[in-house]
Parts: sequence; structure tokens; C-alpha cells
Amino acid sequence: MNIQVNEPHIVHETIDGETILMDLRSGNYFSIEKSGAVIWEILIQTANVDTLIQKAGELSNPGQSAQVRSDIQNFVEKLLSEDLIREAERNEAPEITEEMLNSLKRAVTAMEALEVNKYSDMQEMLLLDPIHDVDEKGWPEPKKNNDKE
Amino acid sequence: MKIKPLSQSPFPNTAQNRLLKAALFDRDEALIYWEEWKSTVDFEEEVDHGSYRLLPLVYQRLYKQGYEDELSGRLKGIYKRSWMENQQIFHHVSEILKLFSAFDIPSIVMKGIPLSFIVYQNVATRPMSDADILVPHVKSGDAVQILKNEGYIPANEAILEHDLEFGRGMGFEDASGRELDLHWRAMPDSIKNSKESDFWDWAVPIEIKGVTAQRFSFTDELLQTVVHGMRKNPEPPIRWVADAFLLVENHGEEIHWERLLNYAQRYKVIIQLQEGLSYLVNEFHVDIPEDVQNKLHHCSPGYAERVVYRHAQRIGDNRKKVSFPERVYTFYARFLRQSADTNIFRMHIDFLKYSITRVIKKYSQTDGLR
Repeated sequence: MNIQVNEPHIVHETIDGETILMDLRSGNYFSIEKSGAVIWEILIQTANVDTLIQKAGELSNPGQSAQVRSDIQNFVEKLLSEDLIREAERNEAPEITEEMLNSLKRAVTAMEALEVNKYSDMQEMLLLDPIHDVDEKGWPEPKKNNDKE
Repeated sequence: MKIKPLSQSPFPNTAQNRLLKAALFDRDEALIYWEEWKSTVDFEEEVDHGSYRLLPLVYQRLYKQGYEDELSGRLKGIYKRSWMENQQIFHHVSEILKLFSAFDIPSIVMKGIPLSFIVYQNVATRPMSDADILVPHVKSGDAVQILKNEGYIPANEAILEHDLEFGRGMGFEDASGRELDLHWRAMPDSIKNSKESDFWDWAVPIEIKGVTAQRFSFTDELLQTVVHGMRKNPEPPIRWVADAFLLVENHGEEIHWERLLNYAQRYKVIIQLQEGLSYLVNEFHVDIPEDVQNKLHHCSPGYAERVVYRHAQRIGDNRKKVSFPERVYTFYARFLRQSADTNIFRMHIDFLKYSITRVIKKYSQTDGLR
């Protein structure tokens, strides 16, 4: 299956190992970190889910291929269910480059849970002061109760 | 002529100046200013809103290039929040532009939006709170009606009619709190000297989220940036320095200085340009051609220009509490700002006539002195 970002409603940017996305229709904000951000970048560049999953399986640590394939499949399904991506109209997909394969290998050999963090309460997010009300990761992560003065 | 900036002028203070240099200068020099800024400003207590709005640019220029410290997480968060808010504004403005286009109303997107797209070339680094759209004066009534039909409420309905004739524009807000500044004049100054084709004649296309509108040429954008920045504002308007710096740094070769000077003279904003460009040259080493600086230096602003500039420095925009004498001063300065007359006697006769008309209106309607 080929996919594409669900533009123009979905906008995204990857910053320092974190992909942030926004659904302009609903106002929902999403964050994908670490391995997930790498896989997102490769996924939207290559567009072909099957090739990505196959390559990720081949590049994963011995004995973890099935788990990696399953995790990525679930990740793609989550992206589809949140309407962040959609099936592409075009059939052809760009080749995975050597550079992408190197990034993919690093991502799948150190893979943590592939999470799509969703923030749907815009009002609450906007009330959060990005200097005083946030934890060390910064907005939109609120300061934990025990961090509060 | 040189007018010494007043203590409450829109020019950056020492800390803001350091922060601007941290955001704008080359990495090695920028890091020195960033360290100085951090050591003299309490990040928890002393970041004013104008400075806060520069932090995404600092993040982009320093932290995204590998610099790390205890503020990394929070600066990244400020950058992400600006990205999210600006994306919403771009989306919002594209809907309005689409509507105007459907009714054959040409639009120029002003200020933050074109600067983000063309000058900063980044969604997050130029935070903004609303969108600014300019429509031709002859289409202003239609544009207002379209906004009202879409549920937008003008900031001051009582003076809307007056402002459609004499003003520059008005803010609108819809039920969900989305704000839009609709302008029908590019500059509020010297309206009688302006032509409908001014600024529009050099406007160039820009695409916002799939919708084509127009933006000012770099020359006109620089004039707007400096003139608008040279006004006192409750929110320190120091961002004009970053906007102008990047405009000249990235697009200096496309700036037509003769047009800039001609417009500044015609719109009677010479002092703003003298003060703004001098500051950029002296403090930020911005490359303004020497002959332009010389020509500016030899311009002599008239009485009205000096009053208007002084007012912009003392009272400025968006002040919440204004005393009665300040209201009168504002009323007087706004009249002079629009006047194209250079004869002081005639100017004041006209002012008297205008004042009487406004006072009569005040008591015949619910209107008031502005």
C-alpha cells in the first residue's frame, strides 16, 4: 500500500527528533518521538508501507523481526485511524535510499514503543504557559504535580 | 534632523538588544549575546512579551544547530507552540482569502504572514497573534460585509463608518476568538497624498495554503515594517528590528531605495525612516546604502510629521488607559497624520472644522472623540 500525508489538512514538521503534526480541521495536535519520528520521515518519503515494513524487519536485531514488523504495522494503522495519512492515489513509490536505510537500521535496532501522542484539548494547551507551567521537555507537557513549587 | 528617542520609545532596551543580537547575528557572536542575555535576565520573571516572541528564532538559530542548556526543552516548547498557532492562523487566513477571492476582492496579506513565508521561511520563528489583510479602499465596504456575514464582529462598530472613510482598518473577531485585522489603507499617514494604486502596483503573488493572494514588494514591506515598528506599544514592538534586519539581509538587492524614500516623503514618515534605519545601521550593522542614509539625513520633516512622530513615541498604539489630555492629543495627532497640507494655518482651520463635525456627531449619535 502507498500512503501520503493527508494534506492540506494535516501539517507536520520534524524538530530535533520529534515530529509534530496538526489537524487543522479538528485542532488536534500530535507528537511522535524518537524511532517513531525516523519511521515517519522515511514513510512519508518512500510512501510504500510494505517495503518499509519488509526493510525494517530485515534490519532489526536477530529474533525481533516479527515484533518490529508488527509494531510498524500498528503504527501505520494508528496514523491512518487518526487521518494523519491516507492511501495514495499514485501507485509508484520512490526507492528507499542508502541514507534512509541507515536511519531505519538505527531506529529499529533501538526501537521503543511507537507512540502517536494526541493532544485534543486545545483550550488546555493554550492555557499552559510555555515558560512556567511545563516540565523539562517543554510545552505541551505540563509540569508534574511534584515539580510544582 | 535628528530626534532623540524618548525613554519610553519603541527602541529595544539593553536586554532586548542582546536578545535580538542572539537571534540575528552569526552563531559565534550570537552565542556571546545569548549567554549575556541569560546571565542578566531572570528567565522565570523578566521575559516581556516582545522578548518572548523572539525565542522561537533563537531556538531555530542556536538550539536547532546543536546548542544545549537547561532551557533547551522550554525553548523547543515555545517554538512548537508558535508553530501550532501560526499554522492555525495560516489556515484561518486562507479561508478568508478564498472568500474574498470568490467575491472578486483582491487581497494583500500583510506583516507576519508574508514575513514568515518569504523572509523567515519558517512557520514557527515569527510568532503572530492575528492575520492582517489589506483590500482596496473601494472594496472595503464589501469586505466588511463578507466578514460580518461570516460571523465576525468589528472591534468598534460605532466608529466603523467613520473609519471606512478616514481610517486605516479595523480588527474583527469571530465567536471562536479568531482575530483578523482588515485594512483598507496600507498606511494611515497622509491619506490625501495617497493613491489607490500605491503599494498595489508592486504587489507580488503569494500562495497561502493553496490560496493565491498578494504580498507587498520587499521595498514596501521594509517601509511598512519600520514605520509600524516606530510606535510605542504596550507589547514591546522590538520585533520590527528582526523583521527589518532579515528583510535587508535576505532581500537587500531587491529593495528599491528610491521608491522607499519617495514613499516616505509622500506619506510623511521620514522621521520614522530616519530613526529606524539609523538604529539598524548603528546597532545591527544593517547594510543600508550610504547615499540613502545621506538623502534621509538631508530631508526636513514638517510640523505635522514631528507631531505625529512624537505622539507615536509618547502614546502609540493599543494603550488601554488614556487620560483626557492624551485623548485630545491623539485626536489632534491622528488628524495631522491624515492631513496632506503643509500650511500650518490652513491645517489648523481644517482641524477646527473637523473637530466641530466630530463633536456634533458625538452628540447626535453614540459616537465619541477618538
